[in-house]
Amino acid sequence: MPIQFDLVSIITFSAILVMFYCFWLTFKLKASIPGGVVGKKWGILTGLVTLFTIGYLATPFFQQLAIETQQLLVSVIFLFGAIYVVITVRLIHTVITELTE
Amino acid sequence: MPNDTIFHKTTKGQQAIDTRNIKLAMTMRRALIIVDGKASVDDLQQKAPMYDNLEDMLNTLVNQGLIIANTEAVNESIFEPEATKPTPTVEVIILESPVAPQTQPDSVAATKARLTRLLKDEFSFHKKASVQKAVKKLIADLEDANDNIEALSKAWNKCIKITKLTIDVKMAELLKSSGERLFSQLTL
Repeated sequence: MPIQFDLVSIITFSAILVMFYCFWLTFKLKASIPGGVVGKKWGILTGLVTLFTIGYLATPFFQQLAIETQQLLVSVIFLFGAIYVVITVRLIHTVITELTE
Repeated sequence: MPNDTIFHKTTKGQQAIDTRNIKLAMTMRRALIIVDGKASVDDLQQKAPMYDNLEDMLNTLVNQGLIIANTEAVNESIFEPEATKPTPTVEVIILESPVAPQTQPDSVAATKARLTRLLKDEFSFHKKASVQKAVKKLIADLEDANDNIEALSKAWNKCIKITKLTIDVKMAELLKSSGERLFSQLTL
């Protein structure tokens, strides 16, 4: 399969690299948060990051998929992305509330 | 179990405290310590209000042969404490200070030592390396606090918050209530 070095490919490759870094960071930080409020949410975030990493890895192969499949995958990633944002925002809010009490 | 039941430690139970030959969770050990042959179950519950399941813990101790109810103690081997040696209670254990007896520790410093001991005791049965590492840092931060009530209170509140956020929510609540008792006993 020939690899195209256009702008889209460069951005996609960069996104995959960033996602891998995030994946590694998530697991590294998980070791130092054994439990508590953050620890519990961190487990969920780890699962979501794993899902995103798999999704990002699949992006170079998107053109080989049917349009409907592509759209379904994108919408699923968007949905879980939104869930991830909600969890992160609520977690930050909880931490700030706890620290400023 | 009737609430007016009085329990005695058996010889085995006293050995478990003195020699630690029987591995007990810290909460179970505390429950064993507060049994003094005089206090009823109601009295024990007042001594240890943070333990919601004290009756279950006492039943477990009975099943392990470490304590025995007063009514059954007639023909059983119960531990008879020496007159000169006081029976340890939860409060005494918590209040034990590592400061050498020849000095007169300041009361804030003594409370700090008790809080440090409380942290060590409550997390002693956690085997996770990450928990032990976090607790070590908490203890170091607490020991670095200045010897005045405000600084100690601030450091302790920080310990509780970090415990709640990153270690264990229920443990944080237990530490909070235990810490409040210690701070209320602090004499100026």
